[in-house]
Amino acid sequence: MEIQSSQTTTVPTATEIQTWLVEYLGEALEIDPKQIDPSLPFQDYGLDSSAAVTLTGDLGEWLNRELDPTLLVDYTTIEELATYLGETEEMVL
Amino acid sequence: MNETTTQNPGAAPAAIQHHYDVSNEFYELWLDRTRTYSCALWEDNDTLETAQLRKIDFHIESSRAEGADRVLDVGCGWGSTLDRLVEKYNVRQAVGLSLSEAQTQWIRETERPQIEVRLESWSEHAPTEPYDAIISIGAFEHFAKLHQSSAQKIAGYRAFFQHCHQWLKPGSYLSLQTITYGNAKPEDFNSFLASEIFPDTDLPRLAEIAEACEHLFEIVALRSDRSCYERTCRAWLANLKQNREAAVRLVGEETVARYEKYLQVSIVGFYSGKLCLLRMALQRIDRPYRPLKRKPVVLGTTKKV
Repeated sequence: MEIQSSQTTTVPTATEIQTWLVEYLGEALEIDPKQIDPSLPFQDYGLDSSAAVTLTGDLGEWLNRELDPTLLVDYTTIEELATYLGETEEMVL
Repeated sequence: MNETTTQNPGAAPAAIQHHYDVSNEFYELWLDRTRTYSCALWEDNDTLETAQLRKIDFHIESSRAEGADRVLDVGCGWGSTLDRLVEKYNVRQAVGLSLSEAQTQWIRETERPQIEVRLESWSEHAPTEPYDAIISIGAFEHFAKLHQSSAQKIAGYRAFFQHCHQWLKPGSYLSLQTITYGNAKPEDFNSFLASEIFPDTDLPRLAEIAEACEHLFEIVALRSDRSCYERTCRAWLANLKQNREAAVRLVGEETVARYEKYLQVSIVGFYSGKLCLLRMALQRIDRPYRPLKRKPVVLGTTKKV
């Protein structure tokens, strides 16, 4: 319970979101997360719109925040998406 | 070669029913009151229902159907266009075609002598009298199968346009609305949509439609409205979320989750421009192109005596 309450006061930073995305993709693609380049387009990792919708849903669940399914259209790499979400996480608080 | 004019080149009835026969009550939970299941035409202050009626009116006007004797609706859904034709636009007889049993049964439940609905494909339709106008909204998407070559798709589409050409009176119009590939190729067609939502279906490209109707119909107007479809899917998704519990009771968690994902994937497709939504007014060409039978004759060079 203590862990949960501390989670509600600290929001994930862009770096933490980036780490989550790298690990998530690594797991999905069954490759070492170190091989994931956060500056490459999601498309290069085989993410179509269906995978993008699933990723956005899972990420939103982790962040406890409703994310628009179109996010990956405008933020096309892990870096861009993590930076954008890191900035807006603070505003959500 | 004759196959295209005698057999339906598009999705099989079973594939259509896979999607449209889930449950009338289920669709009722997230479509608008008129049960119109296709892209609406939005203006700023519209509700889903007013935007759907605006779309229906657009096609009725674009096909010049007002006051007509006979109008055909290919892919009539739950009949909202048929209703509007006879109730607001004084059409004497509105004929609807659908491959969905659930839809045709539902329309037949309310007996109206001016409306006739038929459970048959456009390729089986054999009217005994011509039509003054044809409307087809959100059916063309099912007129080709996945993995057909572009040439095969065009041949199938052309068979549809040939049928419409035969059925229409001289000079009259066909108003068509369909999803098309935009900034994407058929090989990008989402595997989730292809396998779980619209099996046995492939979308057209604008160039394929244009080639298929060449010399049969003149494209007199074209609107590209993908943002309207994004907004429509967002409205449907919001309705489905609002009525989620009732939807799960009707069709189960798995189906509801599948539809939520389908609507989200569609939102992404229309937002990104991979999918487009086209509305086209096509006028029948009454004297289809025919080549000269001999070398062009040169006139005016010999002096008159």
